[in-house]
Amino acid sequence: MAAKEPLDIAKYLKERKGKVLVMSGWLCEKLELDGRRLIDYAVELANKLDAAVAATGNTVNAVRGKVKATKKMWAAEIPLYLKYDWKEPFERPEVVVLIGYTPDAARALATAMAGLVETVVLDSVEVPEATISLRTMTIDKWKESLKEIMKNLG
Amino acid sequence: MEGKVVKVGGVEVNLADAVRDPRGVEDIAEDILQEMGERRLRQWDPKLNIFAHASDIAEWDDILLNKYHTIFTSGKKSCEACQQGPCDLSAKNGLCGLDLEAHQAREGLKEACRALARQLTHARDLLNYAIKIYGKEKEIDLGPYEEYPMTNVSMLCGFYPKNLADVERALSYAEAQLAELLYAVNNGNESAKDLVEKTMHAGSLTFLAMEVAETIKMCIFDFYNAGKVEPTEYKDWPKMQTPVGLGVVDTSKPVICFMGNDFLPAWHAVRIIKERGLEDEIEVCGVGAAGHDIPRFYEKAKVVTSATKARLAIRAGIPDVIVVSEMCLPFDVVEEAKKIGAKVIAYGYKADFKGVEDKTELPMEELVKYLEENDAVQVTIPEKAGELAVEIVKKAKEGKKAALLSEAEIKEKAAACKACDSCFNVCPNRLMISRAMKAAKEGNLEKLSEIYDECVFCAKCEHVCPNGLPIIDMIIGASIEKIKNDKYMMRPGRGLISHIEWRDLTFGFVLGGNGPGMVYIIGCGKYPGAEKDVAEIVRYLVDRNCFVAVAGCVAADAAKYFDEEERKYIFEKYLAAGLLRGFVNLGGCTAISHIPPATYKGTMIGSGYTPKANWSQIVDYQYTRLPLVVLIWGAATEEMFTVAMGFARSGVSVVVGPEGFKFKTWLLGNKHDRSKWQMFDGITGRIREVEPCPVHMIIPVETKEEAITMIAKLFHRPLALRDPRLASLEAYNEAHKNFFGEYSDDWHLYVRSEHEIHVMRRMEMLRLLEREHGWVIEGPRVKKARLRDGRLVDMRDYVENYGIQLGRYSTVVPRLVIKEMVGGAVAAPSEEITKMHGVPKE
Ligand code: SF4
Ligand code: SF4
Repeated sequence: MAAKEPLDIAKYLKERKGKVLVMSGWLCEKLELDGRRLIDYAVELANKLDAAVAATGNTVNAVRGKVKATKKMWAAEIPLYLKYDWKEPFERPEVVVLIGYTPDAARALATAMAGLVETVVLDSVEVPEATISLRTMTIDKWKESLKEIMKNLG
Repeated sequence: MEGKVVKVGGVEVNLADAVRDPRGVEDIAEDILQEMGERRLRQWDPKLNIFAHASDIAEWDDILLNKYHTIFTSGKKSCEACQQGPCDLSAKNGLCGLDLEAHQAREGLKEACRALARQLTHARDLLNYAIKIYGKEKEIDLGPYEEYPMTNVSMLCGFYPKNLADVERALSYAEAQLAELLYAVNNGNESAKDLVEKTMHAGSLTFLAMEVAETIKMCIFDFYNAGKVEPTEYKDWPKMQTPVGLGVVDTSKPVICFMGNDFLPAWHAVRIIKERGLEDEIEVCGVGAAGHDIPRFYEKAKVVTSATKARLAIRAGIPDVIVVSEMCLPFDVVEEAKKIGAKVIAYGYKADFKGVEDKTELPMEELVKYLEENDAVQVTIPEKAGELAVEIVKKAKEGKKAALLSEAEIKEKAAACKACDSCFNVCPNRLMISRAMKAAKEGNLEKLSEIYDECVFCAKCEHVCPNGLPIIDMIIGASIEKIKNDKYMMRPGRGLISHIEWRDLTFGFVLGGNGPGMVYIIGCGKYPGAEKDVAEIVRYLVDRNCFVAVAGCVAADAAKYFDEEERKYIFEKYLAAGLLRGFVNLGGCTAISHIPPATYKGTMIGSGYTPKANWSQIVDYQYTRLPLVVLIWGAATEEMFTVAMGFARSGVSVVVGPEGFKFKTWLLGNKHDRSKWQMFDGITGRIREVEPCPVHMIIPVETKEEAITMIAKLFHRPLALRDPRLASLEAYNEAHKNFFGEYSDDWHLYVRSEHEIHVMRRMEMLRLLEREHGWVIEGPRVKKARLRDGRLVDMRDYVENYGIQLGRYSTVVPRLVIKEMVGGAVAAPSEEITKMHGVPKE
């Protein structure tokens, strides 16, 4: 079962601090959870985990200068580079957190990365293909879950 | 195998060496060899894929699949294809030996077979009808400006069909191939690679099926066809005569709306309307494939929307009568039509709706009466379906119900929303419906109306709403003004790109000119954002000197732009011809089949190679030279995945919008792996390192900005000449910098000299080469460049070791290195051949 509670996810991520890469997808800019854009959660998460952000879609413009390292990347290329040649300006991760992708895209990316890294999907829809994912929930609960994860990351 | 020996000038070819099994196809093989001629046959050993099975094209497919990695996206780990199953493949192979990767590949093949079956049955219906009416001897004449008729057929079968009997031979071959592919879907333990090759084969066969349909439309039913029109007229042809949008239909008149893939009932309805002089009394419009076909033979036809949004057309109350044939995105049309009291005529054997009876045998009078008393009827003869639509439409109008919800009704219904967000979690575009409901409850419909802009009317939200809210009706009701104002104009589809136009395109994009490349945009209307994004993509590309053509449902949405300053719609803003800065509409979904032939034409004009069962040679040429990219924007059907695989096999890179994350296979190149980016100097056979290009064959992207940037990157080809190289590099750099605020990490890989950097950007880029990549720059010149192995060398060494200068014969196919020069094993080419080709001797 991929679905986990926010607290468990926070614990899991905290234990892997420094080994995480955050992937921010196009919905990060589109979706706003009652006044706070998803991209702001992605930035906060990256900072708390001391992680770089692989900014896909157009998100690099909103992430640049706000995290320790970021770069414009292409979501579909990331599994390829993880498998064959990781030559990015940040460490090859052990865990990839996906935020801001449709469930379909997250499922495809988690499948493509299976066996290469562990994947964590922070969407409001459970993604069974990921190593860990949030459960399917309402927008309000999603917002609360993201806040809880952030809070428990310290 | 002993084979017949064919003499071509001074060369003798044993057919058994040229064709895997020449029996039964000797005549075709001999024709092709004669067409190739002595000169070619001295240079290369021919390898013909006449009536190709998937494995007959393995020479090329292997090259492609060795270069590009297949990334599978299906998470299914259990196989139930045969009676021995289910087998859990996550830890070990299935009982038949099938491994997980192959299983994932098979998911793709399965999807491709579904698409192929749909296109084959559509083509077969049309062909059978054409044969019934005109006989098998009916000639195929695509006009004087189509020099290479039906090259999707010729590339797989080895001949240009001359009449319907030849077309039938080709279609029967494709049908048999489908059976073979279906066998592979359900049996055996093939490798993932073999199954991907078969999926690509399904793509090539889908083009063939679409081409059969398209040819019948143009030859038999007189659809607009550029092959029959003087090229001097192209720039404003076909005329800007087709209204597009939900607001263009005059609903005060009786409205017949055609949906689905089959235009035949519409063709007969229009014939009757004309015979009876009813053109100004009855509105004829269409949705999806039929919507794009009808304007190609009826100048008063209107296109309402894409196949994806067919439900919107109904819920907005547009049709009085719906004539529906088999659909690429099936939904319960009868149930939907009931909501507005429209009548449904289900045409054909494939348009089977639950509870709808086939009453084809009834005389017209009784048929009309039957439909008056019932919601729907099935009719399998097109003449009858068309006539029935005309007969019933006035009466049907009288029985129509009010379609749109009032503001008060929306408010009341919104109050029932429990904010469970089941809708949000299934919505493909992640639209926050509960937030809009909350606002609507308080009397603010603005948020619902905002949802309208990005809604694809898939009805998934309604399907899961535990409170049964008519979410779509509420979105529509909140957007009445938008619907009324949805009014644009477009050019109807024109069919093929003629070889005459390709000569111009060659000058603009291949031999010189400043066009970065040619883009073909296809798709079904399932957009990740607003539909107007398509027109924005078109404008961006054409304004930067690209040639853009659209086909399929996307064409109507590409029309949705009006230039206030010039007072022009987008289709009249640009030249309607295959030229630099040209923008053309090829037609509906089957018109996608014009795209591979358009690319083959580029090859034929550039090389003179024979496009008959000669896959590797034709495709190698265009893959390495022509800056062509297909963009699939708004993919909704299996056809899109399938044709993407077909395009990749034809050497054309495909960029696909976010729906592409659902494609079962991506084909990605690894730019870091230098061993993948090599080709043969075609004269000496020496292996040369080249740029990583085209770096991907099928890649999904997330935004329109990513799409544009990736298209620009994929224009790069290893054998492009200097000016096109400059144009594509400039397009890539400009897009990357504008959209993402930084240059890419790989642009320098495409630089061979300072002359390939646009003059406006040259000094900036030279500085970057110096600072970030350690090149030595003196003034505006590159003094030393860094090879990919890290060595800093002077420009002479750089050019000698990176990229390829001898464009003419260079190749990625070992067989196509000129045989007389390889390793000196064979005598050098004769003086005569050298003179004829201008072959430079090393
Ligand atoms: S109909 Fe519109 S709002 Fe509903 S799920 Fe589909 S795209 Fe989303
Ligand atoms: S599914 Fe229905 S009840 Fe639930 S949030 Fe959507 S509209 Fe409201």
